[in-house]
Amino acid sequence: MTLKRSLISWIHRRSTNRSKNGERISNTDCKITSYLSIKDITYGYKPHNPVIEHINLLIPKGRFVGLLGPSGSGKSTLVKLITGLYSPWSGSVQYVYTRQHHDQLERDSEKKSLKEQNNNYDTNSSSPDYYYHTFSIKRPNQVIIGYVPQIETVDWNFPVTVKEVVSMGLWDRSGISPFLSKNTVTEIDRILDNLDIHSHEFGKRQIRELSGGQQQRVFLARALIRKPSILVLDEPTSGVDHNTQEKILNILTALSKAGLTIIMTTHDLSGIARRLPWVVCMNKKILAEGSPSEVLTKENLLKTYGLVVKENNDIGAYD
Amino acid sequence: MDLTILLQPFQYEFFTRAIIVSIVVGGVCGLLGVYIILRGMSYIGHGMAHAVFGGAVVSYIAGFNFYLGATLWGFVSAFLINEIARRDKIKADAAIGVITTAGFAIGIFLISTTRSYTSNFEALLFGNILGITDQDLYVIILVAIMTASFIFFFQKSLLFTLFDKETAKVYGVRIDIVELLFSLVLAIVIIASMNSIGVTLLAAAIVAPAISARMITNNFAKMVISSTIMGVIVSFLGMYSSYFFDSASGSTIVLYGAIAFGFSALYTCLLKIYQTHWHGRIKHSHPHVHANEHKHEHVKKP
Repeated sequence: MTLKRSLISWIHRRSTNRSKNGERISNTDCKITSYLSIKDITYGYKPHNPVIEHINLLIPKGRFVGLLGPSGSGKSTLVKLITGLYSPWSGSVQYVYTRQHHDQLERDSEKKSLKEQNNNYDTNSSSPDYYYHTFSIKRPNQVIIGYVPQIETVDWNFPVTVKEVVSMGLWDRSGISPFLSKNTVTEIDRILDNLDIHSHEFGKRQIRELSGGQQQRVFLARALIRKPSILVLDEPTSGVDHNTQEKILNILTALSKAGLTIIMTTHDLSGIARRLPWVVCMNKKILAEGSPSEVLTKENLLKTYGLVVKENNDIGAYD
Repeated sequence: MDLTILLQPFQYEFFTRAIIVSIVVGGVCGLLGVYIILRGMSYIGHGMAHAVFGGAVVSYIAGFNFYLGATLWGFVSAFLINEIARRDKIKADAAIGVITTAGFAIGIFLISTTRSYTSNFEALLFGNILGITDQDLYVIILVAIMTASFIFFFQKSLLFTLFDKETAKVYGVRIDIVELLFSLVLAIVIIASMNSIGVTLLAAAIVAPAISARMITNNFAKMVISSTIMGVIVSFLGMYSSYFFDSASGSTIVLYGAIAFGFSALYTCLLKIYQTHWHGRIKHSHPHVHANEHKHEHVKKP
């Protein structure tokens, strides 16, 4: 599948790691692990009336997570806390990067210099040999987040073209002039073509003139053009038909396989939720977490929705 | 027809000056108008102009420089409107309604208690080309340069904030700063435009070119350019013909603005009728090419 392949190659191309000396190092020289850590967060819109309480989540890099829950369960609020739109009342949202190096030469030279400084330094005490970790902890506003808002919140009458919408993703990287540079236009065309929206045909159209699926992909393009380390989507599959849902899900799965962390909210239990690799059931609190086959049980669904999904995927009252 | 009659107004220095001022004012109001109507705050021009009027009266009575007093007053009003509108509880239009009319009321209150100043403020209310001085000319040119630079350098963050405030915030746009700066620029533009168009009519000069441009295009960049050009043309025609009609410059400019809007609405309406066609029983309207008498080919790009 060309779309899938081009997306994966694009994701791989964007990873460039550099050593302390500024030299380019490949991922084989060091092992990078990063995860999103949500620690005991509580947040609400009115005092003493929290919408979400004591949420704890650990999302490793590359995981494709679906947040499930009924309306008013705090899914969108959690998404806004993850993106840094809101600050939690208590607890923290952190992006933790750990880098495990096994660069022997670098380690040896460090040991040597330490030995010279202190003759009593016992090199054997540092374990494991030739490995060391570096940690960096970042707040949501310090990492690049791709955010796709709920499609219902968009003002479709706003006079912007597809290209103008995608260029918003590069508002801080495309120079001070309001005119788009040649490189920016090429980048926009490339990302739109990757998402199967032919730039020469649709680029100058007003966003309202596109179909639901195309509109959703334009907003996805605006998020991906930032080259995010985490992609957050609020109800990307609501308000679109089945085929469009499939298309969006395929794109997101391809991106996830290429190493992009994806968090999306959905209330669609029957179709979407069962196809996600990892789901989190929440209703004010985290009720269950794991693969859909483990999590989407009658007991968990009753706790989350007060409903269960029957064998034939219809939603019915639990009795 | 003798052409000298057409050039007659330009013999007067005051009129040439007024024409230059009105063209610049028209362009600047047209440019800012786009951002105002898309922000859903069409009434802010009207409100701010009224609020600033209060400041103008206070500074006149207290013996301050008009621009200094009015600018300070305008900044405070802009800041207050912005702050109140940011809170979810009260909508922007309500905030504008209270703060700006209160500002205007202070002006009227002071005028009514000190009646000797009345005639001077009539010019501020309805616009008067005779009231335009060399100082006004320099001020408006300076303001135009400042506004154009603000729009140029903040265009990306302004557009992002207008279209999708939430995502803009996630992507690092300082929306509070952008919105506050925009309100301040608007206050300055209103103060600089007051003498030529007048407080009561300024809102139309800001909104009319922008909505006319909105009707004829769906493209943001084209809308900005056409609104600015329309503002310039409307202001020039209004000011120029006010000489022959012997009318108040502000009202003439605004009437031309309304005519421009009428033409845009008519054009859109006629275009819709021209593009209307039937597919069996389904009626719709979009650009298409007539292939022959009974059939047409759809154009890929509407």
